[in-house]
Amino acid sequence: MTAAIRTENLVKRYGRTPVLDGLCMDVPEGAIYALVGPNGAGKTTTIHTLLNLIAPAAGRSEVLGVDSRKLGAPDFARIGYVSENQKLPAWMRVSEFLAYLKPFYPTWDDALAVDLLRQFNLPADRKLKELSRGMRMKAALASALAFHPKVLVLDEPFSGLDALVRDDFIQGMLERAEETTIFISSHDLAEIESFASHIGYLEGGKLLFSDEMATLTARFREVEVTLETEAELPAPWPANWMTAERAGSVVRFVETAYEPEATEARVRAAFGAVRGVEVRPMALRAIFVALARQGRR
Amino acid sequence: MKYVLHIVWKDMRALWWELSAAVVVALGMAGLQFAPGTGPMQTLREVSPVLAVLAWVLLVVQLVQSDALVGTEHDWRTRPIRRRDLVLAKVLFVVAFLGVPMVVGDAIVLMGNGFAPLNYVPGMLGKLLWLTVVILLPAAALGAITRTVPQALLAALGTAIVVGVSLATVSTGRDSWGGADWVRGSWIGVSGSAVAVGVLWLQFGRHRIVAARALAVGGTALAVLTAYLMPWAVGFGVQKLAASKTVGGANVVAVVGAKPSAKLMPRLPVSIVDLPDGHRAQLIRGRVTIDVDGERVVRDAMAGDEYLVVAPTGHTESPARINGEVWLAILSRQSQAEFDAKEEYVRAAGLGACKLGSDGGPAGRFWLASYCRTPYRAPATGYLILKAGGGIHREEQFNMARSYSPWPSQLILTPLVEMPANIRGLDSGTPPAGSRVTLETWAPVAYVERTFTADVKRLGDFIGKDVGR
Repeated sequence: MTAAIRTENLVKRYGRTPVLDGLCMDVPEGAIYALVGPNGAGKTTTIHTLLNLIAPAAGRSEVLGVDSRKLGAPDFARIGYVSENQKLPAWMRVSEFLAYLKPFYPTWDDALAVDLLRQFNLPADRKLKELSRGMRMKAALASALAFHPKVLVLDEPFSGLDALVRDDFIQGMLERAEETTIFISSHDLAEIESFASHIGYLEGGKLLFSDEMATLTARFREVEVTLETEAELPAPWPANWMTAERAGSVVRFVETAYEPEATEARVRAAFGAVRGVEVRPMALRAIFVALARQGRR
Repeated sequence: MKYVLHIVWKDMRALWWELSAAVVVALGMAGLQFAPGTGPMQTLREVSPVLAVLAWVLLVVQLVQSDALVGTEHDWRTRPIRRRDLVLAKVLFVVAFLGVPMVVGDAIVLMGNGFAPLNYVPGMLGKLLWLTVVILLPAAALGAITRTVPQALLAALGTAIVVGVSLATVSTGRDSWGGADWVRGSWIGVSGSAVAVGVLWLQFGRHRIVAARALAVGGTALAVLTAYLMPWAVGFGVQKLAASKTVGGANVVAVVGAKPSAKLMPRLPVSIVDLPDGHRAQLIRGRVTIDVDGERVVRDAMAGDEYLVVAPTGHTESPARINGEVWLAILSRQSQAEFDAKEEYVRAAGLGACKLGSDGGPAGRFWLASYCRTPYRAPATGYLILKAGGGIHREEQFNMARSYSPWPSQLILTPLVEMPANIRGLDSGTPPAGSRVTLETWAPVAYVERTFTADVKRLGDFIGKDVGR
């Protein structure tokens, strides 16, 4: 599958602080790729670099096969972008905003624009500065969908939105962007889990992993081992196991390469005789909490 | 072009208030030229250029900031809007809403004063060029490196401080270049414009905010510094390029026996002799070497009309040898028109529309005043000459910013340049019958450098009484 978005050894520093540290990432065409990570991980910087809003210190990135540094007007006619920090022309009415953008996009779809206004309950005659934050985000999304973008880039689109608006936003995005590659950065793991096809975890400017959602949720498990007696944790600790906790004869950890038989065999090899092994699937949120804890250690 | 007009229309709607203010101020400034010369209207007329500049600067700054170049959050930056279209749209906006109202305003003023606007198109274009260099480009550059108007004002203040400090550092002890000062001014204008264009290119073309800001501050300071650190030899060399012919003669003689009128500064009277017919010479500046009491003192000397101003030297009772080097502008008469002194309104070639007036003057003494208004550019110099019976021949130079620049050397927002001149001190209380007034304009045609030597018996002879040792 070809990549709609690609970065190769992308480096960005603010002063001496590295924000992106050799980021390598591929976003397959047609995917809904969620880039997640703690605050300051470099998610927004990644997006700004992808869209040529800032220049990298080293490495390169491309969107739809075009080097980000060379993205021009014809390329932006195929890329939609919505950001929590986006500054729209506040003095324009919603309808004026869409009318202003229309001539710049050869693929602008008037009927779709009208549909989006209706679907998002956007008041066409209201000035953008008079809209709530959620409504402004929806207006931005409408303006980014109305020209059938090939790639839709969303930077923390859910922050500060109430649940209802968030649902509207996601529903609108998924319904209207079926053929679009969506690249989304977010903290909201619960929402991401419901629709992302791929996920990447960014921390300290590095992509710690990038996988399909189904693969990721399949390979992470919370494992609880009940030992016969109180015992020391095995040394060396297996590389696939994270965030070990011990309470009496019970040891809990996160298995990052779960396969039923292989995991059980690894447990027995590490602990010897055990009274019981309980394996529980993990929510995306729990996976990332574990990853974040591991990262801090 | 479709996209350009689309962006212009957007900017018009976004900035309609500022736009209206700028147009009203431009046309209002023109209208005020016809207002009475006294009272509140006079005050308004005097402040209207300041208001106009403020309105234009604000408009241009906001015009650039309406599609802001600073920051990553502005929506247009991820839209398929070509930078080229954006730049063209901003230029078209400025031409349509600043340039056209100004030209219309100028045309109204010119017609109202009896000048045909079509005869002064080069003057109008020159004024627009000046406006672009001095106001519009710097304002656009400011808008390109800031997000908001207050930020732009702060940046302007910061740059002004940097420039002021630079200027104070380098200009101390450097005297005026007199009529050749336009070389410095033009250099600042040209290099300042290059800096502004560079800033705009970096921002619109490359989006390099740090480099653009560094260039704005550093480039402006450098433009001013280099202007004032420029050696006089270079300045005069540039001035000579403006010469239209070669003129011989023009030897300089120090008039040692003359009594200087200076009280505060020592003045060395000089006379320029052997000039070709129909020419005058004016001192631009000079340098003197004074050998006195075994010491040698070298002074740069500012030039008055017929003297060099020399800084105090001491040794006033001692004999001295003075070696001087002077730089001269040789002027040739361009126009001459003679009128009866009783006429009130006259038109004189090169001086435009003039009002002659005479009255008893102070203490009942007759004086003759002339007040000329000419479109866009004053002549390098001009003379008001009164000839009356009894061998009376008096002449006075027009009071104007004398400049030997080949192009208009300063921005004047109103289209008419005003030039007053007056002759006073005649004994008769009324213009003597048959008195004739001549108005002349003179233009520089050549620039020469001459030396002279003078032996003075007592240095203090040409130094005013009140000069301290």
